[in-house]
Amino acid sequence: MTALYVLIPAAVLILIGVIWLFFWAIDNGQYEDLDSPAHQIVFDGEEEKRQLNPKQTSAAQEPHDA
Amino acid sequence: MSELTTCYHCGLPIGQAVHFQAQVLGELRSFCCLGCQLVAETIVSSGLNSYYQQRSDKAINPNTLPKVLEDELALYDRPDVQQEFVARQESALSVCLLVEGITCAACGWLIERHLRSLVGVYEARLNLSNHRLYLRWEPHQHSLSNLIAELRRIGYVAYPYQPDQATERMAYENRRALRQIGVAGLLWMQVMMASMATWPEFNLDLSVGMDRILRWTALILTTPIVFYCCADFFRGAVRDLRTSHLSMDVSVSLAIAGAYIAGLWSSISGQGELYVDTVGMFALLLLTGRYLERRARERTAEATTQLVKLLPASCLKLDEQGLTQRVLLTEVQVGDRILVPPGNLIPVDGRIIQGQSCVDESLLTGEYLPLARQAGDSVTAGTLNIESPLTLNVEALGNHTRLSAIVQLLERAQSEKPKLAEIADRVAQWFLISMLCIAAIVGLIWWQLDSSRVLWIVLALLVATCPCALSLATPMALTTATGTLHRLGLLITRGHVLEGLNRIDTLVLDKTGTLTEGRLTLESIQPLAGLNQAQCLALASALEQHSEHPIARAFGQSHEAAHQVQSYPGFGLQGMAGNQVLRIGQPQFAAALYGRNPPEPPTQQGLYLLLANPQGPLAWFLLEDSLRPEASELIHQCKQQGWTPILLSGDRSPRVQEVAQSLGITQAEGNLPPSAKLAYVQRLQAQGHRVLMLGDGVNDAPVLAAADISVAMGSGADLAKITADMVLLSNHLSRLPQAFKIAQKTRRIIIENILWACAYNAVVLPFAALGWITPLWAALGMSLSSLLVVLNALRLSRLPDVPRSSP
Repeated sequence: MTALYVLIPAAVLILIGVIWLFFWAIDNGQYEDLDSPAHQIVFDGEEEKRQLNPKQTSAAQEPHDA
Repeated sequence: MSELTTCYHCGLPIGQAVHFQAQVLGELRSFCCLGCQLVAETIVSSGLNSYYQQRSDKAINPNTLPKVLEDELALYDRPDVQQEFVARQESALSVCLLVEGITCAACGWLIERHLRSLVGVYEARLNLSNHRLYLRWEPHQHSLSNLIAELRRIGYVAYPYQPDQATERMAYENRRALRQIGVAGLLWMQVMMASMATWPEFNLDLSVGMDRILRWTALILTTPIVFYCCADFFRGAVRDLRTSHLSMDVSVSLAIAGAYIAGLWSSISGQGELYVDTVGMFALLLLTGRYLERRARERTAEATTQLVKLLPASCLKLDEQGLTQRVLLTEVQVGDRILVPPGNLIPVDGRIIQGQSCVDESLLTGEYLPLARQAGDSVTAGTLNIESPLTLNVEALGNHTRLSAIVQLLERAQSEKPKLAEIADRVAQWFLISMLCIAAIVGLIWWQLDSSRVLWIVLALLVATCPCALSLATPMALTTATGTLHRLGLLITRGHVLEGLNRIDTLVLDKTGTLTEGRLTLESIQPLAGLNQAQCLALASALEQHSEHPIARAFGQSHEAAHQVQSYPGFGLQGMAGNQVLRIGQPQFAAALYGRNPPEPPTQQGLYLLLANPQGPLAWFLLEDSLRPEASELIHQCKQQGWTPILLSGDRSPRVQEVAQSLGITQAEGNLPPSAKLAYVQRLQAQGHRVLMLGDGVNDAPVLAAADISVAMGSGADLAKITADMVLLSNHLSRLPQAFKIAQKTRRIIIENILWACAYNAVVLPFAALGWITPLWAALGMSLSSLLVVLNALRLSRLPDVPRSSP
């Protein structure tokens, strides 16, 4: 039972960390668009395949994140 | 296989001969029009072929997108216009655009890729759920109008989007609601763990010290739930108590506060039951329910902001030398001269000083035929110039125009709108009062029996019967029904109208654009000379190719255009097809070509156009603003429900009575200005009728605002759509009876849910009064009853048994 004296504060600390992470994610707009990323991944895979296949040229370039 | 060929890009059927072709994905594809072909060619030449492989839906025909002139786009490049919506980050500019024409996920990919491939565009991110495009670019490389034109080339229209205060507040509240849910959920899990250990059912045999530590841990972790997550409930309760009315918020607050204070007392005194985990669960369930309801409402609010275009109103101003310059409408003054090209909305009230044209006033007055206007006549802001350019002398602007008079009428009507009582609120009052009475009685009885247990029994009673399921009953049903109706193409802007639909007894309808298509269509062709119908139609449509007149659209697309076409506004057209001169239009005008009197039109009803050559008349064309095919079904259904249909139109023509007769509507009135329509409906309401209004025009907007429940057509005016409770996006009248069915079902499910929630409370009440309820049973009972309510509401997500077509 004495383990609880350590485990309870540990649980509370972890909880605070998780809540902070959750607030950060919300403020960062992670929950704003729940549709696009799901589709994005399909197209990105397609793009990679085209780049491996030299016959088709890819005009689209990755934007550099400035 | 002789299938009808459809356009490779937009999926519209192509006529007999294929005129537009391009190479896509290694094959020659056919297109319906030049617009589609050009878009496809642009997509191919930018190397974005795989759009066509990936898309799950056909694109929108670029011709149906709103036309934006190049010089109008150039307005977006003016710094004073830009400062409203463009942000500067170091050297780059960023903007948020609202994109129209997105049909599937592949569109998003296409837009992002196409823009990113341009030199000088740093970032292009499209949000697929609200169709907003975030763009960051180098202003020296591209102007904003340039980028918008670039989107246009791949078949999309974009407007700068400037979130208004309401939208911004909504986004802020949305984030806050999400935070509250997250905090409640995360903390509740810990509280549950700590407090479960103290429950006698688990028989953990804790030491006294450990028991106290666990109680305090649970209590401390509950504190943010109560003070942060549930703050809105308390605020709502205080607000409602001030206006001396008992709402759901009051009973929710009472249960939460009661359980929390009891937890505090039990932690301090070290005795009694600990109910703080129930607070957490209660908060989580309620917050989630409200969040889902908010999301559904937000989605509709987003859809409505998309209905309203944010084009800076501009017009062509004429200077002393007669040169035109595009200026913002706010820069125009009374007395200025402006030029309105054909196909444009007239932006001001004014008098024509030069030119002759037809003006479509249907949105403002309900009149379905365009009216001829010439120098000296006055025109009204918000009407459409159709045929030829008009020079106007500006007489009234902004708040002084006739259009804004309607807006004022509307605002007054809105403030007088009768409020439909919400079932949940009535139940909540009744519920709260009876709960408090029962708690008092039980408390008194226990006081006599065993005064040491009174506090705990009364608390257990309040917590075990806390109205969790009751407060989820309505929001869950409304949320699900709103989603289902959205799939049917009906947008609900005010959720509670669904509850009130069963009390409607009168259906008021507008004619032009609502019961009818709102545009002229070709009803029949009657050849008078040796030519057959198809030949006559070919000649007529060749002539009409050049005209912007709504009549011209009725003749469809032709590939052989006539030449030397001259337009005589208000009379007709003259032109050369092949090597013969032809005229089409008013009988007198066409007959003048061969110099005799025109033949008698076959009937008196409808609009007849005569096609003639110098030898004599060739054919009659009958044009009508035809009824929507589903209109009679709608009237039939409504009569079956016992509603009285009434037709109120602004149209002066006998067409109003014709339409009423053919649909079997006995009460019909024409020639009503917006104020008379409003008075008519308010009279009905004063007689105790409950009115559902279905309309589309600006002139219907005040009535839509005043009616108990209102539905606007998706093709209608922006003003009508904003004021209505529902918007029929699909324009399919047959969706309405279906929607009414869903509304009835929604009401039934709300009532079922409320009954269930009350029944649950009635069952646990005796046990709680006897003191048999422990925190375990309270938690179990609450989660089970809430789950049942939610599952029952989910039944609304099934569409009624009518085949569903794409929205």
